[in-house]
Amino acid sequence: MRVPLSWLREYVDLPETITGRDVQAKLISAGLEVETVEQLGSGLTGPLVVGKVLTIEELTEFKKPIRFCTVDVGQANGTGEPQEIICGARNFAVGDKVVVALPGAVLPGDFRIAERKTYGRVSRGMICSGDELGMGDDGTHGIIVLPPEHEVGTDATVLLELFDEVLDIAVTPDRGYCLSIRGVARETATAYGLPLRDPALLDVPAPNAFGYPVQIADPIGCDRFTARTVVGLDPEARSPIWLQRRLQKVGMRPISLAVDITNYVMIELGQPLHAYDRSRIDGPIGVRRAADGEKFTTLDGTARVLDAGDLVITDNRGPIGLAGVMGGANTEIADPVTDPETGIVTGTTEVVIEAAHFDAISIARTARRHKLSSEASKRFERGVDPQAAAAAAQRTVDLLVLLAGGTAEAGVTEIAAPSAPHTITMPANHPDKVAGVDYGREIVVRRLQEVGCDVYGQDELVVTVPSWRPDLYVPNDLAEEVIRLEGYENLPSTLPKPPAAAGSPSASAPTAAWAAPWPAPATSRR
Amino acid sequence: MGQARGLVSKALAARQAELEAERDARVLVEEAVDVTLPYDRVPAGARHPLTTLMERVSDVFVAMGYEVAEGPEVEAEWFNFDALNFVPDHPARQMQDTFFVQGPEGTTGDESGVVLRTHTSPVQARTLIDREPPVYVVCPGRVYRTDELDATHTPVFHQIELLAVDEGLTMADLKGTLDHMVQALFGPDMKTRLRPNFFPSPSRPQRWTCSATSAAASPSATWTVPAAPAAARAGSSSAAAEWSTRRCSSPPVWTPRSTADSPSGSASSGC
Repeated sequence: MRVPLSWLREYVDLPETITGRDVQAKLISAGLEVETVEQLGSGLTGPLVVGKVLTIEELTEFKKPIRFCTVDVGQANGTGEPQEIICGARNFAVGDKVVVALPGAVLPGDFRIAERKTYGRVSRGMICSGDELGMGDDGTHGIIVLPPEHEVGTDATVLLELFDEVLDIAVTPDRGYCLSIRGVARETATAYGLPLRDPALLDVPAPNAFGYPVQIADPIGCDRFTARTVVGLDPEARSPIWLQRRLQKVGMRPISLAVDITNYVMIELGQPLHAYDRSRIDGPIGVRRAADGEKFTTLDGTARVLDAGDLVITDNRGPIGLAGVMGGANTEIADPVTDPETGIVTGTTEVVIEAAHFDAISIARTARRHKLSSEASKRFERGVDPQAAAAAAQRTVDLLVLLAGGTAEAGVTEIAAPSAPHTITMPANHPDKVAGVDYGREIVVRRLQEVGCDVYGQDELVVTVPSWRPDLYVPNDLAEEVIRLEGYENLPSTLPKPPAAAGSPSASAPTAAWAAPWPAPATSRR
Repeated sequence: MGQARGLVSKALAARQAELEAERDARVLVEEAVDVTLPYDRVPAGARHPLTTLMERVSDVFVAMGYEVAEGPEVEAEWFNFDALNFVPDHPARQMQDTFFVQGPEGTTGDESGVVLRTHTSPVQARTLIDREPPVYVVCPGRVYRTDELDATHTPVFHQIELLAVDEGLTMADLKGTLDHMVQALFGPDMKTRLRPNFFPSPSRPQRWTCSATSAAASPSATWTVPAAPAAARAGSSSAAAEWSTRRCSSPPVWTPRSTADSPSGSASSGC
């Protein structure tokens, strides 16, 4: 899980002086394996500014087509005169806003920009691609063409958020909640003793009967399904820079606005989401087990033969999604297409958003069976917070309204199998006994509350574990949380006193008993 | 032009052959060895470093009052996985991680129920079946996994695992035991560091990793010891540590682990 520090700061008020390495040390001592802290923008110095392409002269006398451009960079070059730049890329036109590295700038890889003579002209700078700025994959590998509203001369290092630190955390399978910024922010807040602004605390409208119809035939495999509809989306709307940059920083590729938003909310809250093109769904959405041998093409274009154990999302025609793993090609959000004659852009304008909760083991088996591990399946396998589904759907709706000009429909579908929160009863001194340390009741209760538990009782604690911690199951799990947050480094070092024993080679040296009849292994496998 | 070039390379090749023949003749004379002469050294032979190391670790624990427990390398799948709470679907059981051996009835593949043990943990299960607590044992041994041989992986490696089941055992006891082992092996300056990690193993699904560093002597030397927690069961607790020699070659440094699919810390890239 890659976590940009700038994103983390949105939910935890870390002091300005705190660096990524500081957070790394704190999180490691709290038991999160922060492997690296990547310094984005290291080796990059400006001036790097927004420019507007004024003229393009095609130079054709060379082996490859070369462009001689003049670019308005405002006063950033000191003169206000257009900057003359040679460029080999072709994915931009006159009037486009681009990112210009002026002479004196240094790009990652010690790539120094200076005035130089090339292709028979003097080039005074460079028009940059995302790769050259170390921004990660933007899917084009071409010149960055910025939205038109950005003013010439603006510092592009700020606009493109090029300087940041990214923590890379190896999340163990028991801590699925840390596959979200929300989860890591909670750990960070606890580690620094700061309050957390929980991004999942949103006002969510109550479910009603007008939402998109959903029928769940397998409530064990799918115990929760929220569906929301947003209409009137502008098919031309693109993901804003901040959204694209955050996705790039966590290692994802921006694709289209609706898809980017669902990915963004998944990273933020840990809830995988799927957006269906409503005009391509036929009838109610269903959730059921697949029929053995049923055929289905996932949106990666692979035709798959399903197994009776696979959970599928369906409409009247058949499967439209491999539940919790990958959507189908048949209801995929359409890429915007511009009609060459009229210039009218057509694409998806209505989406149904799915925020569901699926059985972890079922998803794990399906992902393994089809050798298809996705960001969604990775999270469901490790346990997703079932209580976050409604909030994640709301967040997605909000962003679609804000960024794509959509209108949220009033209908809210929410199907949830009844479930009681898990409670654990534990003597208040149990963590003390496991650790061999006298923490005392007060510390135990406080630490458990920081984890998100509700704690009642005096000597015998009744602990209700939070919905995002399915891994907390027995008293020892709670003891572990207390010990972890109090710091392993603070455990004393004592030695047990084994009874006087027989010493070396024990009674279990090779004997015939080793070959005694063996119990059969569990068979219900695969 | 081409002809001239041909001539030159021909001359060059001829001269080179000549010089090499001359050198070979000289070397045959100068470096002659009389193989009939009596030699002045008896090759001493030595114990294998792994054997030495395992015995040294075992000695440390025997001195603390532990017993050495052993078990078969060809192990029942039940002891290797089921007895340790590996669910039937656990990825580590699959043939990509485990060597399956032909079973008693001629069954093969992952239906045989017989494996080359993937860790020394089945010895824990055997020990606990055999005897009543208090139990203090250390289980050294050779283990097998279907890893491709490379700089940091080998299909055959060694682990040492400790199991303590007694009333009132604590995490502090585990830490103290590991501290003592590390200092006994590497010197009094060594410091240890516990880190949590996840293993779907016997008592509870969490173990700790303990890495030891010596601030004074060799700051780069880090040994990692995945260890299981003290877990209370019916009034008694168990603590198990597992120690692997797997990638402890040249200066062993801290390496990240992704233990999702592995039965123990050393599986994917542990230590």
